[in-house]
Amino acid sequence: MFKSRKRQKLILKIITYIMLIFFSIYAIFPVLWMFSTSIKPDSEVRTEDPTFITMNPTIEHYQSVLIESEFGTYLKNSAYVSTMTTLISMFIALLAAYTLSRMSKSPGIRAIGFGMLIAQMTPVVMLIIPLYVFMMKANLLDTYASLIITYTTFTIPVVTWMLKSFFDSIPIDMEESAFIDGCTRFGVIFRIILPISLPALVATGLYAFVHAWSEFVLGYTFISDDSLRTLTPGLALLMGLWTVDWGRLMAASVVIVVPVAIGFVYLQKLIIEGLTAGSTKG
Amino acid sequence: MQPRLEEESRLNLSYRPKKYIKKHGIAYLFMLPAIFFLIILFVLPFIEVFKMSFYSVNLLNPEAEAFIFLDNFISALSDPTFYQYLYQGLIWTFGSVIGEYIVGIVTAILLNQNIRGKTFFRAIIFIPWLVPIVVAAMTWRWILNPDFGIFNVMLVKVGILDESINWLGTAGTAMLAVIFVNVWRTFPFYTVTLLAGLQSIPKEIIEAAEIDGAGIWQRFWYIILPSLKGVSAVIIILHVIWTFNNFDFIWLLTEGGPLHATETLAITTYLEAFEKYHFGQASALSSIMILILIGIIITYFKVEKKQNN
Amino acid sequence: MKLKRRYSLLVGFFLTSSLLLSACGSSGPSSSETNESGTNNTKENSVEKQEKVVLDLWWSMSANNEEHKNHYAAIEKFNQEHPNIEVKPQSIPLEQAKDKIITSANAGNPPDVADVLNEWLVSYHRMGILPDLTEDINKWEEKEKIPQNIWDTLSVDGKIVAVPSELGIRAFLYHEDMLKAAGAAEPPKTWDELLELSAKLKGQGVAPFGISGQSARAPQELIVYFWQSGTDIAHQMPDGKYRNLWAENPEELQKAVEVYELYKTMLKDGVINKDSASWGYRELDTNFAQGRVATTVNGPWIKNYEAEQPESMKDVQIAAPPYNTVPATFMEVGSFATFEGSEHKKEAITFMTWWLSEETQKLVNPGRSPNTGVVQDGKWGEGFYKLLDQGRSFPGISMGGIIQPMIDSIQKSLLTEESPEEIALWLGEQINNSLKENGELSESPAK
Repeated sequence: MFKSRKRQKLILKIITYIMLIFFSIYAIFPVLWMFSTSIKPDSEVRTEDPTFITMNPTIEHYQSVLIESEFGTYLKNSAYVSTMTTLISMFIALLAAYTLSRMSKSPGIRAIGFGMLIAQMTPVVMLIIPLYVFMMKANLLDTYASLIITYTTFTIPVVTWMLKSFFDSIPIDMEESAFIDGCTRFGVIFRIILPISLPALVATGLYAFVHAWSEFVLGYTFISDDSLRTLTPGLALLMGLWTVDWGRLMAASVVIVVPVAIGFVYLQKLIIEGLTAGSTKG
Repeated sequence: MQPRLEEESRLNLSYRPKKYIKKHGIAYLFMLPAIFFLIILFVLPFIEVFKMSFYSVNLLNPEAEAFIFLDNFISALSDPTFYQYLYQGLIWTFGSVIGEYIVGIVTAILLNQNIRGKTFFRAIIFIPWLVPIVVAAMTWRWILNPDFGIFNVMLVKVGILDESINWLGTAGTAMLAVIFVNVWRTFPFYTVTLLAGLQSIPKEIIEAAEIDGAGIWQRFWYIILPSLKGVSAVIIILHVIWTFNNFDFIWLLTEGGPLHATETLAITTYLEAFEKYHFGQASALSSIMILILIGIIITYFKVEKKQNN
Repeated sequence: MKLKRRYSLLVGFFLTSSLLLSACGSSGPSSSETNESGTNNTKENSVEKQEKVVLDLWWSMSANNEEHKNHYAAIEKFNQEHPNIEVKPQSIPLEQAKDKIITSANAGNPPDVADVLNEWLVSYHRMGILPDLTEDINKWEEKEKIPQNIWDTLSVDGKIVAVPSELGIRAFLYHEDMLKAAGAAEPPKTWDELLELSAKLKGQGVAPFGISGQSARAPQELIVYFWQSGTDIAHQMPDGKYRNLWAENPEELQKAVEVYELYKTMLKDGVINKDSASWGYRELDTNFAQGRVATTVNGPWIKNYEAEQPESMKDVQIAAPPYNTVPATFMEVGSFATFEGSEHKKEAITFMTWWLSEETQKLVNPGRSPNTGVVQDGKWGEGFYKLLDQGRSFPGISMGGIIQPMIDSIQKSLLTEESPEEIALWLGEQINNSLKENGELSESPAK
């Protein structure tokens, strides 16, 4: 009996590995292609016989992108805008999600929640001009604030609903006993709900960050000043009217993707260690 | 005794408003910042857009702006292509979301297992989401190219295909290819979220079921999936909304072609607004799209209510 | 506990608002000074700076790009020569600039000068955002050095609305070695010669000719075929407005039909790649540069592919595009425009004409200059210049609702069994519908 159990577990493990490898290939294939292009010399970038491996790897594209161009500035700008957006929207959404989850009986609260969903439904295309006019009148064009405010607005409904669904799955008894002990709502949120929802917070925080990080249309509409430009609109500069600098474009894209991926890995490690070190639910 | 009760009840009445604020005030206070943002930056522009759908607004003909009530709506709905694009949009939406969910939950479960290299795999699977849309679209278009794209080259070398297929340029495969690339780009979001949901399921429940003799499939179907219901519902709804409204991804891949085979209402709206400059018509289309989405979501909520009862 | 909670709430709000405010501050001093939308701040600053006018310039050049070094040097030079004007350039790629100009101009906040394509001018003019520059241009001393057909391309309703800065003429590009191997001494001059040549080229395993079935390039190719057959997508009528004549005039219809017959023949006879319907300009240009396509009608930017494809680009030569009955080619004119909402139109005009002067053009644009005082020798310069007389651009109508039907018509001819006549009539109808929606349709009786 034991032997077949062990065997079953081994087989499962192997299947798991195989499937993970399969999905990993699916996920990383184009990015590997991007990377391999970014280290090819110009003459090999687009050939009749596309290959992954090049005999003459070069770092000239990276040099050009990182050192000789403004990409460092764009990176800094994107990092700042994305971080601020994440912090602010997470804070606001946290409160709103808690309310939707625990206090939905208060009149109008459910309607507001539903309203948030509806707000998500407007295609951004139609909002560009009214938002631009608003930013212009508020004298916020060409400022970090214009992007932070707008991105936060678009992120709040999503993060709120996602956090709400996580909160819904947390049993209410813990809070009730905390209330009896004299804790306030605010305290309950920070001392009880937050620690348990760490994985959810990471997931939604990640969403908020990545969304701001890769945003394009509003980035080029609100910002004209090069010193404030963010990464993704900055990419468009590498694409001329009829030509594209593929080597540099791919290098720049790798630069955009890699730091966030690494950051995620470290964050994940931190969170997981934090989770397993202390709490098992219950 | 009785006079005292009356006195008490009179006192209670006068305290009601304060109690109300005490009870509900916090809710509104917590919601306040969210509402503030949404009103200024969503509700107001949203109302403007809605208003515009009743006017004939043509940026190229500013003097011709006039209130035409439902004319924009009528002309949109009486155009036969409207229904074709709506249909294609629904296929695009649900095809993508279903694909994303399946890949998402499978990868989430795989990543939740206790295996070595977990972090490494998580990082890799996470990456497609990070690639900016413009780059993702251009890269995939290059990879899928029938003449110099590596996808076809490899498939032919290995023998799976006899000759290259023009994935994005053939009416029969275009929508499939576009959905395939969309799933690639979006599934990590599902993975990350569902993984977080999986990690909140107490291990004891699963272990107990295992001891009771439940097989893998049963554990999945009866324990794991139901615990993920709330989270799944939210991300599915959100993605239905986003995918339905998404214009730039299809546009960058196929520009709605070949011959409108991959065109959706979202693309039509963009073209109305930023190519033809008919903002009134575009606003009407957006309003119709919003109504359709509201319809889908209300239907979902109603069905869910029924199931819960 | 209660006090603690209220306190922490306050701190929270304080933090976020101060962070937001600090975000406003960290945008730097540049924004309020250069924002020309007429806030009081700006006016005060300009007075303090001895009436120095700052021109906001949105262009597609990038400070990081080696090729644009001279452009930035030219700005320096202008600023030095004109101490009371300072030009502040900002890089905005053309595709985004088109939309951004519309958004900002309609909000009353346009840049002072912007890089525009001549194709956008009619729409911009109809929106009422372009001032009439005719008078100022007529006063400019070098006006005659610019060919009249270029000024015509930049005029709407007879008014000049932009100043040219760069030319993008289309020519016939071919791989000379491939033609030689096929026994052709000269490039083809007419459609028939092209088809004959193609039959010989097929044996080399390349697509003899390359076209675009998609993207912004496709309508530009299609309209040239109409011109080369002696017709156009819309003709200007006596009342000044436009109309497509194919439905009412059988001779014109026949000319349009010949164009679609050409597309169908090219596909059937293997003159073009079977996937041409899905080729955007990137696919076309790359395939030509890599030598998978022997000939194509294309522009000077192909030169940029020399770095990517040094071997296959070596034998590229330039000639006039083969025509049906009338020689014609597409002329894209990159130009500068100023806008109604700008408060510094006079200075903007000074800058734009200065840029077009022979001296400046020699510095920035030796190969593609609209100024005939500056012509570069060699295949990439002279080859295109010879075609200036043939160069034409879209008629003076809003192309917004017409571009997509034109692309559709090409795809119909390549992907469906519809007859050339059906396709031509369909496109004619779409064109007239679009003209009607924009108030540009002529009611004059047919000639």
